[in-house]
Amino acid sequence: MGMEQSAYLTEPDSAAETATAENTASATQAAACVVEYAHARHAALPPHTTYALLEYPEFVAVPGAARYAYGLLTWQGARVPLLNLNALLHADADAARAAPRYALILAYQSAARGPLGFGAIGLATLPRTLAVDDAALCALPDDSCLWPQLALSCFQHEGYAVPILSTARLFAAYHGHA
Amino acid sequence: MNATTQLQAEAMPKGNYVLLTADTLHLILPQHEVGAAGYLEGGLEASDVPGLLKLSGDDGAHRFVALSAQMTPLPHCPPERFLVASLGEEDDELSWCWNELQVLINVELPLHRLPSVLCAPDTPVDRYVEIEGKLAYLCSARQLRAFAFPPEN
Repeated sequence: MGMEQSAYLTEPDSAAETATAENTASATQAAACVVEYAHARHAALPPHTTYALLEYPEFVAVPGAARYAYGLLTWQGARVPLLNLNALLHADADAARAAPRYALILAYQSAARGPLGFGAIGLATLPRTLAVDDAALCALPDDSCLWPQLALSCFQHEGYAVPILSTARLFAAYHGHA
Repeated sequence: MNATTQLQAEAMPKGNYVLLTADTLHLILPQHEVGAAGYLEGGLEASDVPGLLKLSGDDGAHRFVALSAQMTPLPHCPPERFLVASLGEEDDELSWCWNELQVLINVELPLHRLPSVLCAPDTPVDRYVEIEGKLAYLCSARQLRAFAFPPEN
């Protein structure tokens, strides 16, 4: 992919954030988009919330923004927040200063039948899509106090606990504690 | 469907503004809060107060500020910051250094609110405009001064 080139991952549906732990678990197997947001640290996203992938995203810093914020990303003529999950979840403030290789554009809904909102997370590596079995369900990891607020569920993969993030919870409000 | 569905623009109060540029930082302030622009008359060096600069070799009381992209004072003034202006009405002895000042007469630009996930309690800006392809934060002289030089507890 070239500079600023984007790849569309899924077409958004009109209920981007209606996926819950319950309907994720209703099937024997479900797909999950897994990202390695820092070395050996993983999270998953419902595939229908993943919208596009940008390489070398351009963003503008926001003065005095939350310490986990890269800034505002330009995408399709709009500005969307670009976040550093590692800085958010693990108070790794320095990590938010280096520009990420990729930006994964995510859709969310703050309310049922409300308009779609968009946000992005910075990544160093490409996301992967996995098939996750119900039997892989596990407890949330205890390495961040924000997991209970941000995660819909969690599964075990290759020895890692992989929380499934709610994009609505991720982008809806400022996260003051980590 | 496109990304603009999440942005609800409101109208910026119609009036006169000044677009201030410090490298990648663009700020829009009401015109009445920006003093007359002038040229920097020499090189700047650090003063005895962190964040405040003074003219090299000058022992006067006049001080200067050069901002970073994060709206915090730089320890030096980049060479292309040759325009200076005072801000607000409180201190004529303080000038702020800019690459460019552009007066915007009788403008009413669409105003966008920053996503709340980006805004910490002490984030000094919460709205921005798009102007000539640039993103500029709407700010007041008081907000700028308070963020650049937070009061000591």
